[in-house]
Amino acid sequence: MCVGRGTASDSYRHGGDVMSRKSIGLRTWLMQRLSAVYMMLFVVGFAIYFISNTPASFLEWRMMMANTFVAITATLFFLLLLVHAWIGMRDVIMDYIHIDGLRLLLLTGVGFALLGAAIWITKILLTVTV
Amino acid sequence: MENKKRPVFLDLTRIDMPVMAVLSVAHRITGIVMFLSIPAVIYLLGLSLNSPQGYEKVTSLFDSGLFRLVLLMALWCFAHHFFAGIRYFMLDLDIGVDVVNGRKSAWCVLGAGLLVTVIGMVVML
Ligand code: HEM
Repeated sequence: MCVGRGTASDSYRHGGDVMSRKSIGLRTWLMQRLSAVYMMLFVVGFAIYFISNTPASFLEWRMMMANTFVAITATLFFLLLLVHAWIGMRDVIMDYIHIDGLRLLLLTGVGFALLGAAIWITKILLTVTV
Repeated sequence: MENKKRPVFLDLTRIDMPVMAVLSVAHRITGIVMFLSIPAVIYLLGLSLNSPQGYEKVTSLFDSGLFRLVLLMALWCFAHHFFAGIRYFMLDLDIGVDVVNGRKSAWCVLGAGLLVTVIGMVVML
C-alpha cells in the first residue's frame, strides 16, 4: 500500500514520513478514506432508492425522510461528510497559509462553521416525524 | 521554507500540465466548492422538510433556469470529486500507478464526471 501519498502538510509536520510519529497524519488519512467510502455507498444507495420511489408531495418526501433507517444513515452521512470536509479543508489551509495567526484564525473559523453545520443538520434530520 | 530566495517558476500558462495534474487541482477545487455549498444545501433540505410552504418554495426553484444551472455545476463538482476519489483509492492500492494507466484513468475520471453531468442535464430538461 502506498500510504505515504500524503498531503504537503502531512510531510511538513512529519518530516516526509507520514507513517511514523504518533501516526496523527495516518489516522486522519484513514478517516478521510473511511468517510469517503461511506459517502460513496450512501450516495449510490440513496440515489437508487430516491429514483425508484421519487416522492411527489411534501407528505411523501417527509415520510421518506422520517423512516428510521433513512434518518439514521442520512445523519451519519452528513456527519461523516463534515468530518471529511474538516480534514480536507485543514490540509488545504495548511498547504497554502504559512502565517501562523491567519492559519489559526482560518482553522478555527472552519472548525466552528462545520461544528455548527453538524448541529444544524442533525436537528433537521432527527426531528422529522410524520 | 527557509530559503526565501530560491527560484520559483509558477507561470501557469507555461507550465506543462499533464491530465493528472489537472485532475488533482480539480479534485481540490471541487472539494473547496462543495465545502462552501454546505450551508445552502442544509438550508434547502431543512426548508423542504419543515413545512408544505417550504417544500413548494424549494420545488418551485426548479422552474428557474439559473437554479438548474447552479445545480448542474454542483452535480459536476460532486461527480468529478467522486470519480477522482475512486481513482485515488485505486492508486492507494497500487493499481494503475504507472504513467500510461495513470493517464488513462485520469481521462476516464474526466469523462465519467461529464457523463453524469450530461445525464443530469437530460433528466432536468
Ligand atoms: C462520495 C463522496 C466523496 C469521495 C469519494 C471523496 C474522496 C476524497 C478523497 C479520497 C480525498 C483525499 C485526496 C487526497 O488525499 O489527496 C478527498 C479530499 C477532499 N475532499 Fe472529498 N470525497 C467525497 C466527498 C466530499 C465532499 C461532499 C466534500 C465537501 C464538503 C469533500 C471535500 C474534500 C476536500 C476539501 C478535500 C481535500 C482536497 C485536497 O486536499 O486537495 N469531499 N476526498
